[in-house]
Amino acid sequence: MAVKEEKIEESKVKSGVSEEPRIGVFCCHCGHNIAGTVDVAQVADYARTLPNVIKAEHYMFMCSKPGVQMLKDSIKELGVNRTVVASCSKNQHGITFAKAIAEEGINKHRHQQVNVREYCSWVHKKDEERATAKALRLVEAGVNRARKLEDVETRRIPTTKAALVIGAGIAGLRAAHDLAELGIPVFLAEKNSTIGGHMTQLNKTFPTLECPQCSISPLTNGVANHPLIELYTNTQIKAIEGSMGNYEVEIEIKPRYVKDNCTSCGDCSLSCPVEVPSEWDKGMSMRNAIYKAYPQAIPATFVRDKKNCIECKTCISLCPVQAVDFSMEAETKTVKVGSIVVAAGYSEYDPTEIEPYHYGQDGYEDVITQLKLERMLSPTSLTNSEILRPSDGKLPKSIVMIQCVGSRNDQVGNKYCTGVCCKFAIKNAHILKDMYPDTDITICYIDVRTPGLNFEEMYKSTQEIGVRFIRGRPSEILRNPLNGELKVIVEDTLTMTPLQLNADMVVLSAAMVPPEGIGPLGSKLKVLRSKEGFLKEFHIKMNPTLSSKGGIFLAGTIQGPKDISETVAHAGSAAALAAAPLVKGYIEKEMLVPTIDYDLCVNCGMCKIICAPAAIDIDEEGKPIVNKIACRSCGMCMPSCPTAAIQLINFTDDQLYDEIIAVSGGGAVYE
Amino acid sequence: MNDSEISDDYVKERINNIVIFMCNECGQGSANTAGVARMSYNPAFRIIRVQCTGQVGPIQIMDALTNGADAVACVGCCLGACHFFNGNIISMHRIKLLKKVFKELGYSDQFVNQYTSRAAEGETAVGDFENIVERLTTAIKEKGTIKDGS
Repeated sequence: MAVKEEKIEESKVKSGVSEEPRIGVFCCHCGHNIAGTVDVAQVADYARTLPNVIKAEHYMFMCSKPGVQMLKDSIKELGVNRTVVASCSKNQHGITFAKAIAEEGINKHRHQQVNVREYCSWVHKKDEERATAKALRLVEAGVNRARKLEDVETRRIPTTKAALVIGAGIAGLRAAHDLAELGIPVFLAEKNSTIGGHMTQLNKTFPTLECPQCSISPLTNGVANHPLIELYTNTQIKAIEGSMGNYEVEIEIKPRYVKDNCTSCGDCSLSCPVEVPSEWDKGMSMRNAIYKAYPQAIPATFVRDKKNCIECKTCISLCPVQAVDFSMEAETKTVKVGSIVVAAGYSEYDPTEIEPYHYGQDGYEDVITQLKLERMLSPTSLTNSEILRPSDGKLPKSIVMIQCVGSRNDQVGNKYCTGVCCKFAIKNAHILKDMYPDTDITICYIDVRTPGLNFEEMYKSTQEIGVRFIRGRPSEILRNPLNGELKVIVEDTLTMTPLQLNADMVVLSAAMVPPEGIGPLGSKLKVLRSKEGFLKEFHIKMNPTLSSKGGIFLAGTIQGPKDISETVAHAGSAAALAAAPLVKGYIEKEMLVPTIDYDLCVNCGMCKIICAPAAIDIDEEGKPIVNKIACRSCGMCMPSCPTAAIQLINFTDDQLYDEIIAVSGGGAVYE
Repeated sequence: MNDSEISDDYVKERINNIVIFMCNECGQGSANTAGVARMSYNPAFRIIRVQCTGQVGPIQIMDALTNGADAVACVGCCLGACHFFNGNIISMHRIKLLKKVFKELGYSDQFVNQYTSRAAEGETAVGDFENIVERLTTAIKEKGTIKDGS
């Protein structure tokens, strides 16, 4: 996608490559910090002998006002066009000197900082002779590097003031709402027919045992009624093009077959002859082919499940407002946005692949997952919040919960700890024990992990009310073929006792795994994924909400397992980061990007493969093209090129070679 | 060379030039932290700033070795924490391949190494440097220097 780029500092960008380099070298004493170890006068004398060096001086404090003035004077009086300062690190005063030469009309990238304080004088205090010898090498390398430095321009790229949020669970809702509150138009795309995600399925939230529906409803209503948020349900992402600040996203909105004038009276659903297990209720109740996922669902409009519908058309004739329309078709829409927030959430791990637990097999109907238990406990459940065995509808007298199903398990390939299973298992055990004091509840754990405020207290109080904790991972769930009773085989590893626990019902605390369809979405977004399958963050500590690609942000469990409070915080951070360039209206970017010599290029495409931010595209002729806006200036494409056709400006093979020969002179001599 | 005649100190004293390619983020950061904490290390180490260790190819490593360096190492961010995404892992694979080349040619594979460091901890950089000297000393005693071949 073509983006207009506005050049700034144009006057300061000269075609400096052809002119003769005139280098000024300045050695700083830094009080005694450098001069106490390194003979700075000798360094300056040596620098003066190097080719193209016009001026070489040493001074007490280069970063002081007179020091910076020396730099400026040399540019004015002697026509110095490249500067080398041998002092502290690039981060500390490299910026000061680069700014100073920019004030004199020289591009700031023509300054070369040589770090002789941190890398030399401070670490070689006891060996003055070798420290000076090293400083000479470092300064010569700096001069060699400065000789070929080129101008790098800074461009201002205008951004599209709109954002796309993918997924309308708690993370997506939070991010969309925060973005809209900052005045940014938001397109919110949700795969399912309703918004709210997993949080609406829960019974209570830990540690305060609050009602999740009540917590989330201000947000769902706020998002549905916000003037700046356009909500698209039943929507999938078809294609994404563009780069940071300017994306074009094609979305496909699948038909609901019910028009917006639906009053959600429910007459259509009552007369529908088809009944299938409800996905939203995790199969714990049935729904019709024309249905609303749950009574409080937003949007409240009914939806027709075309796959299961037998097209008897009873609903069409029964609808009092003629809202049902089987002729609706899928609509494709292109939206232009500046930032994308991915909040696709998670899926509950499917324990069927763990063979010894027999989940989902005939005769093992009483082995359920925690999310199913949540649905059973919920106030809107078919059982009226009673716990009844799915097999015979009786009240269970003993319940065993098994932790770490699908997490911390090398055999199924998930090494990570989901981190929330201990908390929700303890929460559910507590609720169950409160409801049925006579029922035995046992939790089989490997480690109980309840970090954070209030969670340890919740664990302790659950122990106190009589929930039994056994340390050990159950090896198998056995079924007595005669009477259908279940037994959980586990070794209590604290007392080294093998146990057989009678279980009327077994609840598996299944892991959080990447959501369905993450593969195609990830490849459309061109972002990288972690080995567990979640979308990988840019930096685990410093930037956990940015993806591998600029302008695409991650919110919530799409980045890794999280609980609700962490998810909300994560989503808020993603929204703030996504909003920054849109509120400002532009992105400023230094064009420190690779250039491709098409005479050398053999169109092998290696650079495209290795480029993590997907900044290299292949055009119709097979030639690679660098997307200067998406490029992150890492230079990884350089060694991947078999013909050295792609070169990062100011880090070219040529420039690095000049620096390497200066640095590596004078190797060891062995007699 | 005869092992019995050469002591570790003899070799260590003569290691004079080790080129370190340090990435702009954790690599440079850890060396700066080491400097600020005044941790002392061998003056043989000379640091070249690159954007990412993924930028360092065999050309740069061979250039350094042919121009007089005793050994080369790349120091990047910790695995999984690359600031440019996965440059350190790509560099690690590249150096593994290069080590194989060295072995095929009959040299020791310790003349080129990949290390990681943490910007907050200068010890990590200094630890890497000490490890380089140790490995290089053993390698030189066994198989000679990069200039000798085998």
